[in-house]
Amino acid sequence: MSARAYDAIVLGGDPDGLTAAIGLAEAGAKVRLLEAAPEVGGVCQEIEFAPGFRAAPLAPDLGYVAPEVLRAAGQESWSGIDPDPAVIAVGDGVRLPLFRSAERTASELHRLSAPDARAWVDFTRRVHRFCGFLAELYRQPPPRVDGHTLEDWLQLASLGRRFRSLGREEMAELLRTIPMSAADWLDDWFESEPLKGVLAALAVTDLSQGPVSGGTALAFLHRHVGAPPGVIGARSMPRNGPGVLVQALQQRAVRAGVEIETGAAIRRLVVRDDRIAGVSLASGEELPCRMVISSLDPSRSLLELLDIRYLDPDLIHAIRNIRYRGVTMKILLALDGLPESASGLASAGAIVIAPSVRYVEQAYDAAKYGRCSDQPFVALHFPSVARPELAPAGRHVAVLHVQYTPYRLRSSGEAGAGEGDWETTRDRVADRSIAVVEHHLPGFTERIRERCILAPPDLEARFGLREGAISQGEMTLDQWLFMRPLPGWARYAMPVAGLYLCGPGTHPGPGAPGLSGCLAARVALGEWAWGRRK
Amino acid sequence: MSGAGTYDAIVIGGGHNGLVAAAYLARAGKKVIVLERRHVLGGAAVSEQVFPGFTFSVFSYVVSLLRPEIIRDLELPKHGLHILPLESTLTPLPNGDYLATWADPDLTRREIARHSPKDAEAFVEFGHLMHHMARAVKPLLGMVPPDPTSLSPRDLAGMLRLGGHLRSLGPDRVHALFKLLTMSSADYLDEWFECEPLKATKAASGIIGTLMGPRSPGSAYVLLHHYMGEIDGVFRAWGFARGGNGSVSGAIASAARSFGATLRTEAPVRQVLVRNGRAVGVVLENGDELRAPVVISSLDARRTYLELLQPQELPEEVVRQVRRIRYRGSSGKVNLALSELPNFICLPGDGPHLRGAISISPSVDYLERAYDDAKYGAFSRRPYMDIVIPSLLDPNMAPPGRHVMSIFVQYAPYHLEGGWTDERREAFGDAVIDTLSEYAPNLKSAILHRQVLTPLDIERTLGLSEGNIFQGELALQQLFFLRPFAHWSGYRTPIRGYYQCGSGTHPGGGVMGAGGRLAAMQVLADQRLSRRTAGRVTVPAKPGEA
Repeated sequence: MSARAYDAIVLGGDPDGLTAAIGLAEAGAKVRLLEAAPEVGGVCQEIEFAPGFRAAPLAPDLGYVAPEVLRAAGQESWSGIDPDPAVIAVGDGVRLPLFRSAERTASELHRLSAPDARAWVDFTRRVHRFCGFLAELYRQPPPRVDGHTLEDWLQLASLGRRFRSLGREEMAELLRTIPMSAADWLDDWFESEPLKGVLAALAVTDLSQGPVSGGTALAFLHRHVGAPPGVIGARSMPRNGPGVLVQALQQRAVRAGVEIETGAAIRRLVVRDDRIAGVSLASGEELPCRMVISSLDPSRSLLELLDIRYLDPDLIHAIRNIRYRGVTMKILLALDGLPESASGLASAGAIVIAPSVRYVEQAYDAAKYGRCSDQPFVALHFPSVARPELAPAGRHVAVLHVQYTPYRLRSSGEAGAGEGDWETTRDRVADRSIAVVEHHLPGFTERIRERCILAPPDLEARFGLREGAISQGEMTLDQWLFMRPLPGWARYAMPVAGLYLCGPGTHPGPGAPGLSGCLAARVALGEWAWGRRK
Repeated sequence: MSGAGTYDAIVIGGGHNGLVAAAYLARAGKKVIVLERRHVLGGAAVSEQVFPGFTFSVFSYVVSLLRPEIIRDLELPKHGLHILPLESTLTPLPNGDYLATWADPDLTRREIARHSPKDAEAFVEFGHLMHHMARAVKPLLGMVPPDPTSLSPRDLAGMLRLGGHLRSLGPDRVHALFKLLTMSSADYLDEWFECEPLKATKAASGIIGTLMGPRSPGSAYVLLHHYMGEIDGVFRAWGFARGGNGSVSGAIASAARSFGATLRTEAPVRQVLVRNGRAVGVVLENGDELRAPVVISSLDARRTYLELLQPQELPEEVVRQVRRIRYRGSSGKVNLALSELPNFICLPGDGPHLRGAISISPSVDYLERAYDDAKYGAFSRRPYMDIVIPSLLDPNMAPPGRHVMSIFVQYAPYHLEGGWTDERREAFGDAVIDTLSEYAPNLKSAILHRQVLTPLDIERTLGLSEGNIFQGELALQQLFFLRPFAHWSGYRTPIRGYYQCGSGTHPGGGVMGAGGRLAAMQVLADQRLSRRTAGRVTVPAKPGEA
């Protein structure tokens, strides 16, 4: 390996690391990207969990693929699966499809509730308009609370203009909606429990909150940024799986001159004269550089890779208080076929078992006390239906998303039976979850040949997700926007000169792969180019 | 006095906000009448001899948030307001131990250090921060909330002022404020403390009057709200009014009368009279009409808009907004007449620990489980309680040797599964007494009389919708420029001459009086404006117009 200094080293081969690397390389920087796993991909990774059976457990849906990310990937767009219905809610005696066409969904809703049917189209329009504003907000670094430069004022003015374009009523409504609980917000719109249940479940996906918690209305909107108009519950599902994004980015990165090294375990960041001077690998090798962009979680980047004497004690306290709170279990199942009861359902983007808001809220209660839900809510999909290559001929893959299964379990012996630890709990919770599915899709269990359980600690170990949290920082109001990942440090640059963060733990948060990387690179370039001129 | 009369202003509702509004208007020379449905003035701030010889602060029972400018402007001490500080908080624990905080900071430090030395240090710092936060928020309490969606000069000026104020706080304080506005009180306190009883006792301020648990995002705001009180320049000092909370409203009423206001009880209002989009007076239940060009309702928004007006007088949009306001009363009250003082296992006998607040809040989980019950429509089997023994501070509240005990309880949800019946009220009272008896075993035998109030009782007696003590939840989506709802947070209503001034307006609930004062100021400002524009265009009453 040449010892020539790099301009920048990027940590993490996930979409954000890749877009950051591309952004820098295309501006002329010499960039090296380090990924600890054998392959790049991060949450887009597809794994072979049983011989011949593959699935991407963390990215059934890529989320919001922003224009700048598409550009970085060298794509205009790519063909998606566009499952229809996007979501189907399944309950006792209920099959409620949420089609991609709002009108079609509305006519389905007539069977449940005429007022809800009438409200549906307006609801989707309102969501789409709110999310349009959020998309604008997400495609730029968060506005500064203490901004004083011309650039800051211009940014605020531009956002203000965009906000005003919503009109008076919707401006007020958006401000009102953001802090609301999904439960209250949905009560404003709808009356039917099955409909509210599935929407509530969407709101709290990967969140350690129940639908009655404040801020979950924002969480619902957040998950719909970038969704096509009228579509609830699904965003971007490329025809060949989430890996296509990573592949495209990787190709572009290599073409731009980025050196990608996998299997590279990072030991620590090297700081000299109060600025980043390089990266030290576990192998002992030290790679000098002027800048590091890390898409690893903020706590890892700042507390584990960095000597903390470079950080203010107050900041260290704040970093230690970043809440991750993984609550999701993924169960990958190798099926020897689809159960009869799933016919007509299996082509949906997701089948959601969340019969009412109360059901989801009760599932959440357990998590507050460090237990797993007795009656979890489950979302499942069969990716092999649209992509037969994921399983051997005639066989299928099912991916179960289960909540709530908190990373931190309380041990037995407290008031209220504890769960013990994950070693003893994992299978029990998986059984419980499969039983929930069985109840609504009879015959499901007997199709299962093999199962791979990814509880929060497994997600942590396998995918590098702290506390198994896909969000890399719980998506609540106080960890959003200018507060993400830390109050006052939301614009990617960190207190140590030359260090930048990106990834879902930064703005705009989870579900917008590659976007923070683009923004971090732009911010870094602003300073880097200046440094070069100097 | 009977029959029609003409006034400059009619105030509907003799609660403390209505009385404050009347006092300020009367002080400005206006002929004002207050119409109260009940036989006593004061709304939820009343002292009543529910049992002979024993005076209860029936509903609200402590003072802190009453605005200092109101105390000063209306010279309330001259009219009988005397606030005695509540100097301590005792949290008894199930294992027989306790946690206490005292007025003396050294004593408090040593006491907390007994549980956690680290927390003893943090407590001091925490107090400082909350003090700063209270100061930071204080100007917002006294301002008419600017509407960020409006381009009117008044609102733009208000936004600039607000922005300027926030900038003057500096980014650290703005971030701290944002956290307090959005976090759960439990999460917020987890960043400071490790000792459960301390966290829980502090977090409990975040669940007062609110159907939220300590782990609910948004409960940290309620915590901050209860820190914004000031007594004699001392922030965050809770006090007890001599004579009970009725003396607070009594002092305000006396001040109002001294300025010439007429205060009428047993005068329920049926409707506000509206002609051509203007308020012209009111009709009482008995058919009497009173005329005034200004009518101020101190009732909550639901009553102000949907009961006191005919439906066709309001735009559909406004009706829709009012219907979306969340009330969801969650508090209960148990008032006891006692033959002797409660004897706490953790600190037997009489002592200074009984002369402050007693908080049944042993852990955050305890509070959260109490909330879980309420979330699904049951009262808390083991509730949170905030207890005061007023007779120890003001011996006139009870006969010699006897005592009154005021127990504020969370949670008793208005929407109880199956509804509140007499049996369920008593069962709730039993749950409260049973729980408290675990800490003070002599309690049951000491009870001479008990009064149990559920949210339904609160609604029926005081007219507070769904028994919500704040006239509307203190949740971000219903605060500031969204309180009581968007575009109409400035005390005016869409009906010219009709104003709103209760806790359902900014700055919200607690015995503050701020809404009453700001509404009165608005009335006076509008009248000055109308005099200036008399003969030109009619007084604008649409939102967003100066």
